[in-house]
Amino acid sequence: MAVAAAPFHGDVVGNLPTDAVAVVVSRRHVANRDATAVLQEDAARVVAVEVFVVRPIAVQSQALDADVGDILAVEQGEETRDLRLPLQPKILPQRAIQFEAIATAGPWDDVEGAYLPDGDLVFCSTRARRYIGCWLASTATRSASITSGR
Amino acid sequence: MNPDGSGSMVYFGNMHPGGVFLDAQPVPGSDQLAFIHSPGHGMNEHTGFVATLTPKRGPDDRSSLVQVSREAAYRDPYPISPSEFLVARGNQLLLMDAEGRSEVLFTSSGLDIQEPRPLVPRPRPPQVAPRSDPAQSTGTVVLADVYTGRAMAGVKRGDVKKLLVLEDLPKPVNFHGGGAQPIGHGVTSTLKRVLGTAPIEADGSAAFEVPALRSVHFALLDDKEQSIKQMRSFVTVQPGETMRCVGCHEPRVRSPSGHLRGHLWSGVPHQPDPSAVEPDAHGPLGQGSGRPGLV
Repeated sequence: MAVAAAPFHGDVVGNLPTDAVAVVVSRRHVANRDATAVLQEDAARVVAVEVFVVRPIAVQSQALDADVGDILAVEQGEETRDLRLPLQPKILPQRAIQFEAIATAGPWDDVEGAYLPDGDLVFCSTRARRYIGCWLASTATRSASITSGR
Repeated sequence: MNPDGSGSMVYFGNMHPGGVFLDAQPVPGSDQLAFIHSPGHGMNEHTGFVATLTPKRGPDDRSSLVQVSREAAYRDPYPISPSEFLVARGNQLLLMDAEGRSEVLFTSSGLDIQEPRPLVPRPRPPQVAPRSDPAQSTGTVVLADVYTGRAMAGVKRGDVKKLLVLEDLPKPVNFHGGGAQPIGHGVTSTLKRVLGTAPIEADGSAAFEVPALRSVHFALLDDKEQSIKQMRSFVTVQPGETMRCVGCHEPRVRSPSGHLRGHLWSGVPHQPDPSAVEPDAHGPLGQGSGRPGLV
C-alpha cells in the first residue's frame, strides 16, 4: 500500500537530541492516530518534518528495530487493526514507503507490535477473545512471534 | 517476561495495587525501566506520570518506583539515557530529565504527538535462550514448600494434603458495564473450573503439570478437602516451561530455606487428578459437579 508524504507544520523551540525522531501524530482529543511523522534537523538546526500518511488507514502505533531499518506500524482499518511492516527498510531520506500486512487479517485487532532481540516480532491480539472482567472492552493478550511462528 | 513468554512476573501485583503501568521501555545504561504510571484505572491515551522502576530490590519494593514528572500529563516516554527522556504531551514533544524538568522541543500545529522514537541505531538487546517448547501442551509447576508464606499461623506441617488446581475461564463476551454482574457481585469477574488436585509431599513440596497458556491458580486443601489458603491472582506457563515457586504468598525475594534445598524436585510431575475432589454443595469453592478434564 502506497504511503504519501504530506506537509506538516510546527514550531521548533529546542534542539532534538538525535538527528531525527519518529512520532505518531493524531488529531486532537481522539484515539484515532493518523500518521507516522519524522522530525529532523538540518545544519541550521531547523526541524524539517516529513509525514507519512497511510490512506485510507491510519497508523496506530509504531516500533523501530535496533538498526532503524524498519518501522513496525499498527494501522487502523475500517473494522480492525493490523500489523504492517514497511517493505523498504530505510525511511530516511525517502519520501514514500510501502507497507505490507504481516499478520493474518481477521475479525480481531493486532496491536502493540515490537521487535524481539532475535529480529522476530511479538504483538498483542484480541484473537483470544478475552474481555476485561468488569467492563465492555475487549483485551489484547500477548500473541505469537511472527517470523518463527511460535 | 522472556521473549518466548516464559518467566512472566508482575511488579507489585496484589501487594501494592493502584495505578496502571503502561508503555515500558528499557533505560539504556542502567537496569531501570521507564514507563507511564497512569492514575486510577488509567487515563485516556495512556496519559500519566513519567516513572522509572528498578528490579534490583525485587518486584514488591515500592521504593523502587520513582515518579519522575510532577504532573500526570505525559505519554510514551522513550529514555535516551538515565537522565534524558523523550516524552509527548498534547501537541508537544519534550525532553525531560530525571528530576522531571522538561523543555519543549517541538510544538505541532494542531496534531497531537505520541510515541517519539529516535531514528538512531541502538545495540541489539542480548538474546535469551528459549525456555519453552511449542510442541508441548502443558507446563510444569514445581513448588518447594507450601508452608512457606504469609497467613499460615496455626497451620502445622502435615495439615495440607492436596493442592487444588483451578482455571480462570476466558470471558469471550461481556454483557454489563461495571457494577453488579451476573457472575458475582464484588467477588469475582470470571468463572472458574477445577482442573484437579496434586498431592503435597511430606516435605511440603509439590510438582504437577498444568495446561499451557491458561490462567491457573491454586488452593491448599486440608484432610476434609476444605481450603486453607487460596490464590487470588493467577499464573500462566508457556508450553514446556517449568515454573518454580518457593512457597505460597511468600515474599518474592525469598530463596528456599536451607533444609529444603536438598529436596527440590527433579523427577516426573504429577498430573492433577480431576476426580480427586468430590462435588460438595457446601464446599468452600462451590465447584459443583461436572468438572472437565485436565486440558
